[in-house]
Amino acid sequence: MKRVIVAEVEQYLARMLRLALVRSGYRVKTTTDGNAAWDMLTEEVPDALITAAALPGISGVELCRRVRRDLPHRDLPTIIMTGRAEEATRREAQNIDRVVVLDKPVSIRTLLAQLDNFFSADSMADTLVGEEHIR
Amino acid sequence: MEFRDLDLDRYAPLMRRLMPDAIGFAVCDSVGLRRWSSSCSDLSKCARAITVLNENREGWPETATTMVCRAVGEAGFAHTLRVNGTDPAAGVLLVLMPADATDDSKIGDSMSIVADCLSSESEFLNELDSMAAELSERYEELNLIYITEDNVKYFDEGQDALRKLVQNTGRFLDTGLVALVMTDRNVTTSQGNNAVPMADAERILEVATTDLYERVVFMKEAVILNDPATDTGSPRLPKLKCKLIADPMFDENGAVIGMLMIANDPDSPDFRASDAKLLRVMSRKAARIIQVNYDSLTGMMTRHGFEYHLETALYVVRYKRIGHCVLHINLDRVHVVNDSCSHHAGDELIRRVAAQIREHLGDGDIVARLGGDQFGVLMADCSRERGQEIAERIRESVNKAGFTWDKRRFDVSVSIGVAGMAPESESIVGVVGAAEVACNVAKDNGRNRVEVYERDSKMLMRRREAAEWIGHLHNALREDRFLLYSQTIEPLQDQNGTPHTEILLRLRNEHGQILDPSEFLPAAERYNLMPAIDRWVVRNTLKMLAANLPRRVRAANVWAINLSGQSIGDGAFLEFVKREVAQADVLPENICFEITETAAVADLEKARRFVQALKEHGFKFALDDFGTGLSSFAYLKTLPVDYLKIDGAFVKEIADDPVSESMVAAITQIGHVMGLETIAEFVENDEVRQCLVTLGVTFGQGFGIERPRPMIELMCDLTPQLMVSGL
Repeated sequence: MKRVIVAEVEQYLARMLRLALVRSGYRVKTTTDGNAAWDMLTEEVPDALITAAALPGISGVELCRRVRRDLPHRDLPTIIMTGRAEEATRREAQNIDRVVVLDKPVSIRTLLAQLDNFFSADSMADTLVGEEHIR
Repeated sequence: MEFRDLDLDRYAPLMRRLMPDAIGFAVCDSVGLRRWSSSCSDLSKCARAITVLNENREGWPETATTMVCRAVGEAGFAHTLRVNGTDPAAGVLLVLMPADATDDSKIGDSMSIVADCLSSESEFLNELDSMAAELSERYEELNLIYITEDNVKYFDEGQDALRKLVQNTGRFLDTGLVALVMTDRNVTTSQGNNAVPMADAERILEVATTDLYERVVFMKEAVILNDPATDTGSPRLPKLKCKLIADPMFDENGAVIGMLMIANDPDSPDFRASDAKLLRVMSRKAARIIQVNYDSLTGMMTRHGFEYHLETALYVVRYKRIGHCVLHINLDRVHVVNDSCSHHAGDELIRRVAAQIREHLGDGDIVARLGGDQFGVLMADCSRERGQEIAERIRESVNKAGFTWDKRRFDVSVSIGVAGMAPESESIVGVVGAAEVACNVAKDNGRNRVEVYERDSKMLMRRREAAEWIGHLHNALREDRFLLYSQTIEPLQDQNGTPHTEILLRLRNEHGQILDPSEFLPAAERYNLMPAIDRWVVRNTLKMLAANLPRRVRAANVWAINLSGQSIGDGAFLEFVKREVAQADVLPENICFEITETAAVADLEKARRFVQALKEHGFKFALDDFGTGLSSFAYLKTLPVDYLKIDGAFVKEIADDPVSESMVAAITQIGHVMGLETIAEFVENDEVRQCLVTLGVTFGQGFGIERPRPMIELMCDLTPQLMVSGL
């Protein structure tokens, strides 16, 4: 079962995300604070990170950067959710690997589809690697 | 029952408390797989019991009772678990007791209690799951509605908004394909989130923009097809392999301006009424956006959008140094169709011409309905020459196609103005203005033509001046600067025949120059001043005659006065003329009105009645410029005229060109048969005059006979001894 960390200040959104993710078979940990999110990430790196751009403590984009800098998981699949006014965030995030930016209000369907994309790409990569080994 | 949702470890203490002697507990699902077992020391015994249980599957009771099986060394008790009373068993609760366990009923009771708890919790969790699903759906729908901007004022917002609407509908709803179809069959589409793109999307779109669209327009309500195969309304819809809903978009008058459609794979769940309701909300939003930016009759963008594109184009022209071309297209005489048939016919005409215009344009070209019977076209990266070419093609195909309505056929034409947008162009107002001016020139020059705006063209100068003419003409009328001239119409066959005289109009401008009618009449016609001018001519001719000639001289001549088409339509003209004639003491029989075919063409029936009414009072009529119109003979048959004026174009050449001669001969013959007198214009010399005499033409008029001169001179000639009052 894949593990996902959700960092989001807005409670109802966090609840909706958790609901949707659990029903889709993911294990979910949620937090409303950036620093707490970082602690969770260092404690146990999840399979994906879903974070709001604006968080108290460390911002969503900053979390991304830190993961790629300090943790072995350079390419942790991440979804950053931004409000409409956050153009700057979008631009910053565009240059980071394996980060997708979604506008709020977020379509849960789109988000789940995006996670699917991340993971199916992973599994494809795995199979390819596997085949190499066999050869 | 979904075992993964139940935390069975929590039930272990309950089970142990109720059945302290038990060795172990396990739960199997409906296919007999072990889903959970309590941590018991003897797992293998559980396994054995389960195997035995599975071997006796047929013996599983339908209702929740305890079964007992005795395996080697243990007694296994099994209790079926079900979520709802009537559902088949979701699984089995297994309790392993020591081999010598005897109190079956007590064990059974305990197991019942646990089973009930498990069932309740499972039921509850199922409920919760359904509600969660519903909530998710509502959340998505609500977000879709919030996010869809429909309150757009500016064109670029509108384009954007429509695109986003379609994309978001696909994103937020569970659809494979979303399509927004407009009246001109222009489609915006989006694929949904489904990882696999919808098979057959092209085919579906093709049918959607034709058969389905027509159905929606006809029914004026949503069409839901969860099983197209059962549809009986059309041949192609049942072949579609998808589920779909299509909702019409309405404008404020209730006319359908487009359609919003969502489609899904045939394997997806049926579309429900709530989906249709949501689609209705979305299509209303789309309609609102479209109305601001698109014309509902033709599906083209409005002036609003056109100007937006022009601004962008001008910017591109300046910074990329390429040229664009702008056309202003005006449908000629739509009112004829509107008046003869109905405004529905007029609407249909506009729609068809819109389609014809589009046919000649490329994908990158922009066309808009600017209002009424006017269209604007912007062709990017296009030279003026090429623009002119395309304009000419449009003009030709519109003219060729014509328009048929209710078995009546109408001639249709457009006047087109072409203007180039160059880096020097100051603003879009200038370019649009230039195209409009060129279009007006086209109209002035006879309609059904293309004119190109040339900055310093004489034509344009004249056009601009023409606009100033209204002022001039009003002043001239007020200041009596119009002048009457006359030209003799000589009887050719009978030297003693009644002399005829045509009254001609001149204008003295502020500089004292005498102007020909060709210099001011077109403007007068364009600005509806002809009735006033015609009346001025009638009144003053009669006044001149009354003031200068004795009655018997007045009565011994026929005075020919030109009448414009606009006067023919004037209902009060008859009364006016009667009054004037009475006041001047001139007999109607001495007045002949000259009318041209083109004047009568707008409404032949009206013209006939007009002529008839005046004739009943004794006035005479001449049909002017005969032979140059398209349906000369038809007019001749309908209008009860007395004279036929043969157009000068035929007469000029009769001495040298046998064809012209035979034409004049033919017309004269017809006149003869119909009892009409013929007048030949443009008699420039004696040779021509002689030919005409030979051919039997009754009268001749032209420079070879007499040049036009101030009417006062004629007055003098006719009564040299009397004092004359000048005009």
